[in-house]
Amino acid sequence: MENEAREGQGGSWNLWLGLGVLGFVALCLTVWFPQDIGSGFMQKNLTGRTVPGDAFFPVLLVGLMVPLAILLVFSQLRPRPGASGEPVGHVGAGNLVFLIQVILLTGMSIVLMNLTGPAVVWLTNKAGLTAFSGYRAASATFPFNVSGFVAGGFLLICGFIRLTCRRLSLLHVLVALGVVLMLVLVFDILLENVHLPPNADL
Amino acid sequence: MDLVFQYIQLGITSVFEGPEGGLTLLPVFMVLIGVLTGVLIGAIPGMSGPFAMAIALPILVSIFGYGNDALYPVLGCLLGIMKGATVGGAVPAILFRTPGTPDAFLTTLDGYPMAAKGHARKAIQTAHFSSVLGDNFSDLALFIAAPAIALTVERILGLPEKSALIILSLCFMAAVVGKAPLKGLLGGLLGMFVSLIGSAMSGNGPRLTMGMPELGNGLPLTSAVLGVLVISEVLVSMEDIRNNCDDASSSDGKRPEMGPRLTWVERTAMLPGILRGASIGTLIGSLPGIGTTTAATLSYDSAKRASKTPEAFGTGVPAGVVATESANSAVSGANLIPVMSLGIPGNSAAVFIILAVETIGDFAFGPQVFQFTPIREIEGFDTILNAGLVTAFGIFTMMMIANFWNWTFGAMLMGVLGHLAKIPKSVMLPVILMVSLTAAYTQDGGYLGLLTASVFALIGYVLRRLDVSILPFVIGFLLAPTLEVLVRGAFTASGGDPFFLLKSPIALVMLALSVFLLGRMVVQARKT
Repeated sequence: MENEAREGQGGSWNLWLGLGVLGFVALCLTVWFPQDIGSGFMQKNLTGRTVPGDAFFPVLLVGLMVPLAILLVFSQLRPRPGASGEPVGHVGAGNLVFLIQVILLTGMSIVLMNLTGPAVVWLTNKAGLTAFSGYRAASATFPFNVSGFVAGGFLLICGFIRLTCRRLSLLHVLVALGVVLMLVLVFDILLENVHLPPNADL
Repeated sequence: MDLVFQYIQLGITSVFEGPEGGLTLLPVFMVLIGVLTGVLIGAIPGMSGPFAMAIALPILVSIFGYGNDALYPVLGCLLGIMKGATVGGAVPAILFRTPGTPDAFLTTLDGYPMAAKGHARKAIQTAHFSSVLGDNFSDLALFIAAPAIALTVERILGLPEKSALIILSLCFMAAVVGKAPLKGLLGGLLGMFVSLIGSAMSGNGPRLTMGMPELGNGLPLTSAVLGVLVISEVLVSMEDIRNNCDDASSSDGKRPEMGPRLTWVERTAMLPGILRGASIGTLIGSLPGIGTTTAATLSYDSAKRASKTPEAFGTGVPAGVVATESANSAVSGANLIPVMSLGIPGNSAAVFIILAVETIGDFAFGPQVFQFTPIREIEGFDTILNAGLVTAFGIFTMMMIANFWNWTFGAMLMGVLGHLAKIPKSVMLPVILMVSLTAAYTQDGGYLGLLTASVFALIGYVLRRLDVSILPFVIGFLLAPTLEVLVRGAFTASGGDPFFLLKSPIALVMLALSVFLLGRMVVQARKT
C-alpha cells in the first residue's frame, strides 16, 4: 500500500518536472533571454557578416529541453499497461525539514563566523588589551583573524554531528575542535595568501 | 617513430625538470603524497577518491598557485589520490565487511569470508596485487589508446562532427548512468545551461547574470562542482544515517586473524584472472559514464562462469577478490582515455582531473594534444614543439610513478589500515562538509564560492532525491563552453545553414545514434 502511494507520488514528480521544465523554457524565451543577453540569436559582426549571437547556444539548449520534457510528460501520462513511467524518487516534507535544518545550521555558523571576530576585538579593546580601530584592522593578526572561523566552524561540525547522530558526545566535541584547529593550521599558518572566512569579504 | 620517442623522452624529463632547468623531485613527492592519502582515504567509510580529490584541489591550488609550474605537482597529487583510493577501499571491505569505497562493495563477497577463515593477510595481499596490476594494465591501454583515438579524431572529425560527438557522449552517459535516463539528459542540458551564466562569446557583456555583477566572470567552477558532486552526496548520506539510524562503519570492530602471506606461486596462478578482470575493467572504463561497480559486477560474473567451482564464489575464494579488484581498479586508468583523447570526462575522478587542468596553466585536454609536431630548434629563439604533447607524456610518467608507489608504499600501508574502518561515517561526513565549505571559500573568492557551493549542493540534493544521476549534469556543466565554441564555429563555417550538423555523414551517424538512445530512453520510461 505504502509502495503504491509512493509510486503514485513519484509519477506526479515526473509530471511536475516535465511541466516545470516547459514553464522554465517559456520563461527563458519570453522574459530572461530578451532582458539579460546583450546580443540576439544572430548578429552582424564588424565585417558585416551574420554570425551567431550570445543567445544562439542558450536558445538551442532550452529548445532541446522541450522535446525531452514533453517525452517525460508523455511517458507519464500514457505509460504502457502495468508500467508507471520513468523511475523517480521524491522530495517529501521530511526532506524539506532536513534541508531547512541544514540551511539554518549553516546560516547560524556563518553569522557566528562574522560576529565572533568583531566581538573578540571589542572585548579586548574594552579590557584594554588591544587598541584596534575595528575588526578590519585586526583581521591579519592572530588569533583575531581565526577566531570567527574557529567559533563558526566548531558550531557547524558539532551541529551536523548532532543532526546526523541525534546525539553529541564529548568525543564529538573534541573531534570538532581538532578538525577546526587542523584547518586553521593548514589554511592560515601553512598556506600564504589564503583567507579563512570571513576575512576575504571584509 | 624517432619523433614519438623524442616526445616521450621530453615528457619524462619534464617531470624531473624544475622551472630553472635543474633537477626537481617535487612532482614525484606529490605523487607519493597523493598515493598515501588515497590509500588512507579509500580505507575510511564514507570517503572516496573523488571526495578527496575535490577537497585536495583547492588546497593544492592554494599551495602551488595557478602557473604552468603548478600543473605537475597538483596533477601528480590528484592522480596519486585517484590510484591510491582504488587500492585502499579493499581493506575495510575484507576485514570488517565495510567497503571503504563504493567500488569495493563486491570485494566483501569473498574478501570478508577469506578473512573470517583466518586468511585476512592473504585476502589483502590478493586485493593489492590484483588492484595494482589491473590499474597498470589499464594505464598501458590508456598510453596506447589515447594518442591513437586523438589522432584519428583530429584527422577525421571537423567542427560539426566534434559537436555531434559531444552530443552523443552526453546521450550515452544519460542512457547508461542511473535509472532515469530522460531526466539524466535533462540534467545534462541544465548543467550546460547553468555554465553559460556570466560567460559571453561576442563582446556584448556578460549574459544571464540577473543583474548581479559578481556573476560577470561566470560561476566559480570548483565550488559549483564541489557543491553538486560532493556536498550534495554528504547531505544525502547524513540524512539517510539520521533516518535509518544506520552507520556503515558500526561493525563489531574485531580484527580477524591475519594468517599466512600470499606466495609467489599463488600470485602467478592469479594472472589469468587478473588479465580477464583488467580487460573487462579497461573496456568498461573507456566508455564515459559506466562506473567501477558495473565493471566489478561483470568481472565477478565472468570469473564465476569461467570457474570450475562456481558454487565456491561467495564463500571466500581468492578468485572472487581477484575478479572484483582487478576490474574496478582497471577502470581508473581507462576512464582517462576519453578525457585525454577527447576532453570528455567519464566519471567523477576524471571531472576533478579536468577541473585541475582548467584551473591551472595553459594545458587543455583534447585531440589537439596528441599532434606530433616536428621538433625544431630555431637559433637565438626557442624550440618549436607541441608543449601539450610533452605535458601529456609527463602525465603518463606521473601515472607510472604512482603505480610504483602503489606497488611499494601502498602495499605497506594497506597492512596497517584496519582501524580506519572504525571511524564512524556519522562523524566523518560533517567533517567532510566543513572541509568542503572551507575549500570553496578559500578557492573561489569568499562568500561567492560558499554560496555557489551551497546552491549547487541543494540542486544536487534534489536531483539525487529524485533519482536523477548527477554525472550528466556535471559533465554538461564542464563541456558546455567547448560545445558552444564548436557549434558556433560549425554554424558560421556552414554559412548559416540551419542543418549544419546534418551535412556530414559522420555527424549524421552520431546524431542518429543519439536519437536511437533517446528513443530507447522513452521506451524504457514507458515500460517501467
